[in-house]
This record gives sequence, C-alpha cells and structure tokens, in this order.
Amino acid sequence: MRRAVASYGLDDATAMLPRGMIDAATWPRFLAAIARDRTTGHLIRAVSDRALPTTTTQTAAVVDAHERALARDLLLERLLLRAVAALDDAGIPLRVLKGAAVAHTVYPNPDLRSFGDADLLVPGRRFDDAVAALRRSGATRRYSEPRPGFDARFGKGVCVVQPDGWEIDLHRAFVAGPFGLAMDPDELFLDSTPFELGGRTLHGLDAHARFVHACFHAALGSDPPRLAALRDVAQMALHTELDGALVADLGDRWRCGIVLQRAIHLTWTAFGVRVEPPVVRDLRRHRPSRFERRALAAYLGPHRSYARQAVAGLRAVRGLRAKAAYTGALLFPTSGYLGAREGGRARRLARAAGLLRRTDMQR
Amino acid sequence: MATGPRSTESGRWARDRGALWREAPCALTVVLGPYADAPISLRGTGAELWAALARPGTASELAARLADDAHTDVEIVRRDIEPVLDGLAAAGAVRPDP
Repeated sequence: MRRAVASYGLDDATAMLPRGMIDAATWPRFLAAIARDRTTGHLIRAVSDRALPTTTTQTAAVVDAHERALARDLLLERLLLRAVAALDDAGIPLRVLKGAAVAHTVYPNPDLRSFGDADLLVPGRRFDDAVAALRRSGATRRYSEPRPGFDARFGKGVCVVQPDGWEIDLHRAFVAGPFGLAMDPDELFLDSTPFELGGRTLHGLDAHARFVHACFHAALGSDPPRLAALRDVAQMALHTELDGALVADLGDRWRCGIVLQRAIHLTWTAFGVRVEPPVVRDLRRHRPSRFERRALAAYLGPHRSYARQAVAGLRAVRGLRAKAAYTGALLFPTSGYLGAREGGRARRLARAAGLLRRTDMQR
Repeated sequence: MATGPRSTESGRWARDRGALWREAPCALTVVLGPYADAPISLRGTGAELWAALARPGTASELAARLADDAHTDVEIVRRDIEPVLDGLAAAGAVRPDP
C-alpha cells in the first residue's frame, strides 16, 4: 500500500491502492508509515480523488497529517532562506539541493514533495567560507573534519546546527566516498533551474544534474530506499524533459552509471512502472566498469559505513599528492576529530584494520 | 509575533512577498509569515481567502469574490474572513497594498 501511495498519479504505475476502506485496526499504522515516508501529499490526492475510500474520520486524519508535513516544510524553507541570505551576503555561489528545490521545480504542486532537512551545495573552494558565514549567524558544525581543509577538498559536506536546533546540510558533493570523489562538483554551478521562494530567486541544479542527484539519493541513501526518493526518480524520468545522452555523459564522466542504473531498477521495481522513456532504456543498457562495481559495494550491504566509503574513496582521488593528502588525513586525523567521532586513536586503529581486511576480502 | 494593521481598516490587502505557503487538496492551505513563530493552517473559507489574495483587495472586495463563487451572502463571508485576515496580518503573511 505504501508503494501505491508513493506512486499515486504516476503514468502507468501498477502498484494498486486497496479498493475497499482500510480497517480501523490497520489505519493508524498505515497513516504513520505514510507520514514517515513523507508521501502525505500523494495520499491526500488519492483521498480527494476518491481513489482510496476513507471514512470521514480517516479523511480528517489525512488532512491533519498533511498539514503537519507542510508546516515542517515551510519552517525548513524559512531556515533555507536565512542560510541563503547569509551565504549571499558572503558572496558565495550556491545551489539548493533535494527537497525544497525538487518540490518547486519538479512536481506540479510543491505540496506533493515533503522533506525532512534543508540542503545546500557550495563550491569546494568556498566551502570553508560558507561554514564560517553560517557560524557567524550562530550556527555550529555538528562534527569537526579529520584535518583542516579535508571537507573542502574531499568531503561530502557538513551538518550545521542552528541555535534553535534546526539543521542545514551544507554539501560539497552528492555523497561521501568514491562516487563523491569521482564527480566534478564545480560543473554543478555552470547551469541551474531557478525558482521563486519567499520573494527571492533561488537556484536548484539543472535538470540533468538534478536527476543524477535524485538517483544518488535513491540508490545510495537509506536501505531500503525511501519511497519519496524513488518517486523523485520516477517523476523526473517520466514528467520532465531529460536528454538521455546528457544523462549518460554525466554518468560516464563521473563514473556513476551504475548508480543511475540501480536507481532506475529500484524505482521501476518498486512502483511497477510499465512505460520506459528513452533515458531509462539507455541506463538499463549501461555496462558498469570495474571501478563502478567496486565503488558501489562500499555503499551497500550490512557493513556500509562512512569509514568504509572513505577507505574505498582512495581509488577515486586523482593524483599522487592528493592521494597522499587524503590518506594522511584519514590515518592521522586531529585529536578533536578522534575524540568526537572515534572514541580515541586505539579504537580507530582497530576499526581501520577491520575495514582493510573486509576491503581486501572483496577484491 | 508582530501585530499588523487590522482588517477592519479600509485598505487593500496583499500577500507579503516573504510569505511561504502550500495549497493542498481538501481545502487545506498552510501559510508561514516571514517573522511568525509558527505556520497558520487555513481550512475551507480561509484557504479560499488565501487563493483570492493572489489578487490584492479590500476585505469587502475579497468577501465579494468569495461570496460570488460560493453563492453566499457577502456580509456573512466578510464576518468570516476578517479574523483570518487579522491573523495573517499579525503573522506578516499579508500586508497593506499601497
């Protein structure tokens, strides 16, 4: 049922809503799951269209659940606007990622895409300036970096906590590890998709980079993947203008074709979508390289972890000096970083030995 | 929460440029004024009022538009929407239109 709700309104999705009413015993668990999936926007449409029969009480509960989701979305958007203002004042280019940008540029109505955090992308060369700009407004980093300058050069990004407890994820790349290191984030600032929010013009990623990022989120994010992330992939593939050749080109240059292919597979399987637009057919035909297969393994399975991705990332770092800097930062991080994340140097060494053993076994 | 001008004044009202909102099915709209502590949930006539505010108007003009759509008495609608306009003004979500 959750898949049927998440795919409601998609062309040719075969996941079916129940024909009868959901019984009173099942209903609370069902609605709580939809709220966790952040797909109340699709549920309220299914109810409004009478595609899902509900009692008056159930309908009211759906409206209440969607109201709570929308209230959170708006508070996150205001948080985003304040962060954008601080970064603009510091002259830092940025792109709005994921939730807010996708809600306003991909879906016919932004209430269809609820989200749980605020994400911004800044260029690596200005990453430390961006953190400093947000800290001037009272925010703090959740974690320190292994060594000064590591995040700006090699990291995925950092979570910045506002004085009131709200968090902003400030990104340098889409993900940590080999796929984040293989991509060229500077390309993401060459073009954009503008949208209006709170009297400001903000910029999300251009349509093709936005699709690639949605695939990263769907394929490498939560396990099992979030249904809202899969819906983003389907929504973009089926309802936005995508040039398959441009998507394939990004997949090749950023060595992430296997990620796009996995996202398509997960999405089409989850929703039972029958139609396959050209971009989907092209990605299904992709033949992953050895690098791609080994890199993907670092993100999947029971041993997936940030540390494992960091070790696997060495293969994607270009140049001997850069590899040395990357390895040195991971092997000899600052004591502040060790204390906060690893519980001391001895524990880190033990974990590192375990990681290397597992990495060796997979070769 | 800021206290704005009251809707009983004769001025025109417009959505504030800094307001954030979502309009959803089942006559649900949620609005967050730029300086409000929390979003305001609008249902039914309140949601219709927010939609009508896409075009600025006085309380009477807005009531007339809504009454016309709903085939209802304009004075009844006006009495309904005035407290909603006051709440939106207090949240900074609407402002007097020059």
